[in-house]
Amino acid sequence: MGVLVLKIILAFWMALVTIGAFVYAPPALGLGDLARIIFFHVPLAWVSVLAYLVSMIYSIRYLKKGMMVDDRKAALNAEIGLIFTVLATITGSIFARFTWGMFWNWDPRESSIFILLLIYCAYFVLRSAVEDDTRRARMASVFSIIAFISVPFLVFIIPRVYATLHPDPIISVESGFQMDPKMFQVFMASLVGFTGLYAWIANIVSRLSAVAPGTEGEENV
Amino acid sequence: MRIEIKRLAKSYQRKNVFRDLSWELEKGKSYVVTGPNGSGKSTLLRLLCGLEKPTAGTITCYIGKKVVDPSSTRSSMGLVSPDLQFYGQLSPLENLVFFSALRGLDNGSDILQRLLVKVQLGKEMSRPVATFSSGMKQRLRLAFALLHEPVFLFLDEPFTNLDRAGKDLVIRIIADQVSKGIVLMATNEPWEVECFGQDILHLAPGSMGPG
Amino acid sequence: MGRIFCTSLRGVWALVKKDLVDELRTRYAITSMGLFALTTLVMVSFSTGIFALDAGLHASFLWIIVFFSAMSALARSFIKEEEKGTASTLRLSASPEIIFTGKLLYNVILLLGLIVVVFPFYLFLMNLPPGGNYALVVVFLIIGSACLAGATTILAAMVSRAGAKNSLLPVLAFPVLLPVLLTAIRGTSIALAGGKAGGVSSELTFLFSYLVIIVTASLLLFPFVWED
Repeated sequence: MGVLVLKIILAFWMALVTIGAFVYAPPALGLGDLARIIFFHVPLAWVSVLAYLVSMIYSIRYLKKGMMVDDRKAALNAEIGLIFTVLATITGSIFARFTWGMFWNWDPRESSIFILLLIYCAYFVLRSAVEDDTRRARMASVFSIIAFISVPFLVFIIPRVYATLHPDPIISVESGFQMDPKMFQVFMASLVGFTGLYAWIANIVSRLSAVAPGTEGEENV
Repeated sequence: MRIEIKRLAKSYQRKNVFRDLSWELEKGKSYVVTGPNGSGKSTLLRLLCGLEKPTAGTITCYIGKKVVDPSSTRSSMGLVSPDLQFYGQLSPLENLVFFSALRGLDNGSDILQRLLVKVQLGKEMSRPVATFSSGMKQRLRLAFALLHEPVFLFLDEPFTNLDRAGKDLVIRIIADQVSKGIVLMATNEPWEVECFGQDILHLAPGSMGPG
Repeated sequence: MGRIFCTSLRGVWALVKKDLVDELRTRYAITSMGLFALTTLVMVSFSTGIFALDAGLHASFLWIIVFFSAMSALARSFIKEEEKGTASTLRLSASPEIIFTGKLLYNVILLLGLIVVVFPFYLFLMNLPPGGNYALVVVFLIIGSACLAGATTILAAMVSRAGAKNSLLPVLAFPVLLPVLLTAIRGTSIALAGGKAGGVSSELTFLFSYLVIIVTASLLLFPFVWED
């Protein structure tokens, strides 16, 4: 029952965020209405990193405990993360097209999300290449961790080392770009909403995988 | 010296090789595991050597009263198996020098040469292993297994490809090992089972244990 | 404790020596890697020889050649053990940590050998702009290839366990190595343009910390890849 209430709240929440993004929040200085994309783009990018993080935590848990269910959850979270990464890339390049004139120009942040996309793809290529169940689980988990190590280098270091056209990530402390209070409210609400959406999708998919044929939770024999 | 196998199970891709296997091996007897192809003889030996991990159950080895730590089983186990190969570009002596250095042993070249003479490879010591016949490779496997004087010796079809003299050699090695520790052989040949099986484990495909 | 360390070190050295002797007798990796590097180098030189390229382009070409030549040879380091059936023999003889360290050192040596061949040829065939800080270029080549080997060793082991699919390695290695490649290219290009060590300290720190972290992580994770 409680879960149902949460789902209904989430539906209204996302609807409010969408309306707020177009009606309530004022256009940003300099960027105009174009800035409204950040209410979707940044949360999408946030979820794509979050999903990867969750996937990696399940990978570590698999290596520690050896339960196949953890590997399955790691793979599912990676799948969800891949979708969010694609969406973040698309929204980002729409923004790029209308502010910098090109869909793609190898800005450090664009490169970062592109590499994240490559890592996700490599993860699934690796999974499809290994036939044995437990070996696949171990290889995928190890790759996930190794690849994750390069993520902080990418997401945080490269854009700092190289000059970027990308607006500063809003939450950073040294940011000179001050957000309008109304924009900030919608932005934070959207961040929360998208995180909830992700949690919901992850929940559905993991329950679905538990009942799907051929993947029943036979752990040890 | 003792090996305790408790409710051991191994499956590949959800297909059981065997399950609920319990057995105890003690010093002073020669043990044989037998059964048709695919019944899991080699798998059992690989599990005992730690080359693979069991799906369920435990293997515990004792030296005296002390449990052998799983991380240090390497130094107490010897395996002869057709799966084990050597570096074809190197001579048998170079192979043994390499593997004994890898194990951190202080074997001088003379000890290794004596070992090669013992397995009747004395004349082939400096020929690349790639030029060896299958019987000669089998002799090198014996030398490799005895390199660190293991307490537990596992032999997977040790007589394969060997001539008369080679078979006698294996018989001597088994007799020697029985007095020093534990020896377990996997085979299908009735005469070998007859000859060495003081305690015999019969495996059937997908078996539920000894039967 | 000290004795265990010494015997481990001997094991590592034995593995490096074995791989080097084996390689010098077959020359499989050396020839395939060397010829691959030379063909690409000649192709690059042939198609761009008439243009005066700037330092950034030179650095990119150099690292692209090194990356792709390295991939084929590094993949072999574990695949050859699985293919010839010697992997199980190794598994029986030494702990995964010894195997990993030995293979890592061998891969680093292999890549340094590649650099020794490729870099002089590159200087010979391409007309580099004058005034480059070559000592610094060499530093970047060395630390960059150490990073390359450091991240690729465990991935090569994974590829060998995934049914020895040779072509899988670049797919896995590229996203993991891209931060290294981008940084190495940038550092090399600054050095080629005559930059001083002070101007590339952030790049050097980046590469060095990446190397330390990736090798530590690989060492911890390698047993999961190597053993069943």
